[in-house]
Amino acid sequence: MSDRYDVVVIGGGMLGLSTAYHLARRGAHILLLQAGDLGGGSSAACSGRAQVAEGHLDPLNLRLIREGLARLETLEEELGAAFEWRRNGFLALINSRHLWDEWVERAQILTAAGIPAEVLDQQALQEAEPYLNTQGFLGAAHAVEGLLNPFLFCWAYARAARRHGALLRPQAPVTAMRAAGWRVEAVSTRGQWIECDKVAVMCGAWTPQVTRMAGANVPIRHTHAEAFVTEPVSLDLHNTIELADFYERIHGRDQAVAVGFSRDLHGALIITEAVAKTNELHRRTSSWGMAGIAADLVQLYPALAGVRAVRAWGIPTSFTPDDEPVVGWLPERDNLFVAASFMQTITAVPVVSDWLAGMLLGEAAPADLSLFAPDRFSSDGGEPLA
Amino acid sequence: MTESIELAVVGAGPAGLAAAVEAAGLGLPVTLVDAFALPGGQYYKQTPPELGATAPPDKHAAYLLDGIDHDAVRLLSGTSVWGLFPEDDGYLLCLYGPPGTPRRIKARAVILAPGAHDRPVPFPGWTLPGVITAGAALTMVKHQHVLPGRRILLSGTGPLQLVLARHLIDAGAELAGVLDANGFPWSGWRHAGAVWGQWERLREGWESLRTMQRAGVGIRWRHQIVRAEGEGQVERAAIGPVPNADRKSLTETVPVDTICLGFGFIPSIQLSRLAGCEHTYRPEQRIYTPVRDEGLQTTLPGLFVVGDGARIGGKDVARLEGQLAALGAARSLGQDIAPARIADVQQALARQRRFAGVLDALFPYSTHLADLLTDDTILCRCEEITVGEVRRAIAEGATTVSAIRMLTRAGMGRCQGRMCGSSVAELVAQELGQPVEAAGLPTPRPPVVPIPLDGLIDDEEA
Amino acid sequence: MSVINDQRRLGPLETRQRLTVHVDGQAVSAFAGESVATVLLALGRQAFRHTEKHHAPRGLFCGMGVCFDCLVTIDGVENVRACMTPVKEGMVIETGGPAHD
Repeated sequence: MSDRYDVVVIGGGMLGLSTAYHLARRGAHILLLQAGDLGGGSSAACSGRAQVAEGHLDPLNLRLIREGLARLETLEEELGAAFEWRRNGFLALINSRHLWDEWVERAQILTAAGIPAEVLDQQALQEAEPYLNTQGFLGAAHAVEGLLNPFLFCWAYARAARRHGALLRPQAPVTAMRAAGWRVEAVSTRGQWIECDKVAVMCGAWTPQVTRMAGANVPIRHTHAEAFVTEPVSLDLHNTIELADFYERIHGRDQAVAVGFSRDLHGALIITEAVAKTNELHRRTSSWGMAGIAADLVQLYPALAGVRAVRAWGIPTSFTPDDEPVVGWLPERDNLFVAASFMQTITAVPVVSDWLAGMLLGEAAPADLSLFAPDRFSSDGGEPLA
Repeated sequence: MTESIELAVVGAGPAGLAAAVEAAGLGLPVTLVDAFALPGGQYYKQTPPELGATAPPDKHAAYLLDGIDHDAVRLLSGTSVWGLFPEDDGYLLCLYGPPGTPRRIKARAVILAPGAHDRPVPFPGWTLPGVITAGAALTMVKHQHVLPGRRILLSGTGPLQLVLARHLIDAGAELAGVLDANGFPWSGWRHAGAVWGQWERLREGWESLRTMQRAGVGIRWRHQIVRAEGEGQVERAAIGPVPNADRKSLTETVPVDTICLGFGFIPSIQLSRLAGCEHTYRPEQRIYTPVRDEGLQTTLPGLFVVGDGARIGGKDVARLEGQLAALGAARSLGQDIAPARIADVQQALARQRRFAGVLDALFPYSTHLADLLTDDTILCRCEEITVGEVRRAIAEGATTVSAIRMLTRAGMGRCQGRMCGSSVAELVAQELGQPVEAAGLPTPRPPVVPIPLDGLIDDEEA
Repeated sequence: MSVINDQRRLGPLETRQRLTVHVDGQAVSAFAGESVATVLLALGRQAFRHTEKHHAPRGLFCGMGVCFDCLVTIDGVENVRACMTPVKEGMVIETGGPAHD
């Protein structure tokens, strides 16, 4: 095809697909290239939680969550496709005094910002989840977040994007980019060069290797995460359960487990998460990951000991040194855009993708996004400059 | 706590038994892991002793089942291997079995003999109670001494159906018919050379035909099941000719309460795929198979796959492959194996493979799914996903088995895609006019069999 | 009161070890070495459960533990494969599930 595109979006996960939708709605002539199946990267590996309470508490992030959640409520209607959206309670189990204090403060800030959150004591926690082993926990933070089916979520955006004229190509990994001076002229996939005005890289953990094709670096790192799903099970579980000390458990360790679980609409439990340091980008699962998660889960919810695990998966998850995403034009080229490594991604996606589409087409950003600037770190990719 | 051993054999059918016995004979200690309560797999399946003794199916079975009662063989029965992970100097096996069974074993070499399962062939009504595989029927009548039904139709292809027919007739069932989707093997005479020496098999076939003839049951060639009908269970079977492109041709509808599907087997490649060795698609057998060298080693050193778990070849191919792999594994572990020994086994194996090849040629799995499937036929039994839903997903651009799984949930159930995976891939191939391999296979994931959460834990005392 | 249905059982029963199991509340005779699936088939039962989505009847299919269609509740534990479970004295077998929403 000798067609020339306004934007080529590289990366067909939830961020790329939703941005493609918004670009197409704005009338742009766009092509999206995804290495494997649409929605098949990290987006396919998440548990479908639209988180609200666990991100950064600055005004920008709070705004993203508030607006994202509001958009999610009507998104199925907007996209004309169902993705098992529902609101669901979330409990972060607190096992230390300092986490309790942190969450009390966090809950106040969230509530004031329009995202109701509270901290429950152990008794209230036990009442909320009668079969949970609350031993060792002071209580739990509680908020109402959302749950959805991540595959259907991605496909809903994909369908809608196509309806508006976007071209989406799965099984189309980008293997090279051609630059002339400051501009990226074309991208190559399957031996074919595709010319475009702008390139948007939204590949999560794979973003650095793609931007490097244009000589650009992004300070995105990754760990490897594993989770698994069980058979459908009868269960009196009302909330998604997570551990408040998730980051404490994982930080600095080569491998660690922080258990969390939720129940999908088919009755199966999605159980997370084993995290390992690695330089490799792969989808393998390990024996220690499943075993570690299972051991912790059985401790936490003994009634589940006999429920069968059916399928595990592993995927890179990307992050930056300050855990804020990277959004913006890369300094190395004139027309190379990047957006990746969000926290609470699902909640942010519906509004962020709209903003990104606007930015790609020259509209002014609806907010000051310097917090997410790609060049905010020192040149060695370490601490933020300011 | 992970114990380290030299050689692990997974599966105690003819292939695994032969591997274990050969290894033991070489003085190589071997741990033999088998999911069932009694060793024997499918081909050498043993009747529970409380239900009465049955003779082993042949002298090799007797020898091998006896042979594992050996100091060098540790048999772990009722134990599933749910994970297989290559490590620096061997392979980590994750096991789940009765109390006291080790949960993790590290082996320097592994021989996988996981066998196969009956090919699930979908058609309207195939999920009705009363539709069972030929393997299930044979297990019930031969090893559980119970009739799966009273009035039974067999649909499939090949001589194994005759064996089943004989057992059912001898047990007092009424056979409504034996349908073979292929035509009468007129060209069989060309393979006389390969059949020479297979006296036991020929005798068995002859016995079966005589039993059928006495019962007034003939083989209906170029026919297959079109539809199973009934309220709550099978009550009737609609039968049609092969081919049946518009699915409308019906030869007749017969009252039955059981339909046995005998359309061959599919190798259980879940463990070999999880380990990460290369696999290839064989269109003539319509199966995926691990790539092996002539010593039956996969593309991963020290990992062998033998028997029907690699490629469908029957019990004698399985047995000899098990032997051959054990010799190869022993050699890889530093033992000196005389080339003549290996050559002997290879020669015997070649003979058996020739015979297996004849059966493949005369009774291929030739059914066109298009002849059977309607939009409301269930394709994924576990998640109740219809052909129509899968077709819609394909039309929307889900062109790989994994994309279809994401979009429709086909393959996400407890059977982990065993009952629908091949049909989904073939449906994609059909709809898009592309080879089956183009639809790919989903990323292999543990556990390869569903395991209770407390069974995943690496704790020997759990 | 034990119910035994011998119409489908084969071979001499006198030499076998008889035991009692309960199928959907009814005491039923079975024999050591039989699977739960065998006992149900011997009772003339082919449907063991109903599916979630379409409430469709399912029973034995593969007979070797890979299809997970023959699921019944045994001694209170749901989703147990009938074909892979040998009967034990006093076993409580419930068919017709699933129980969950």
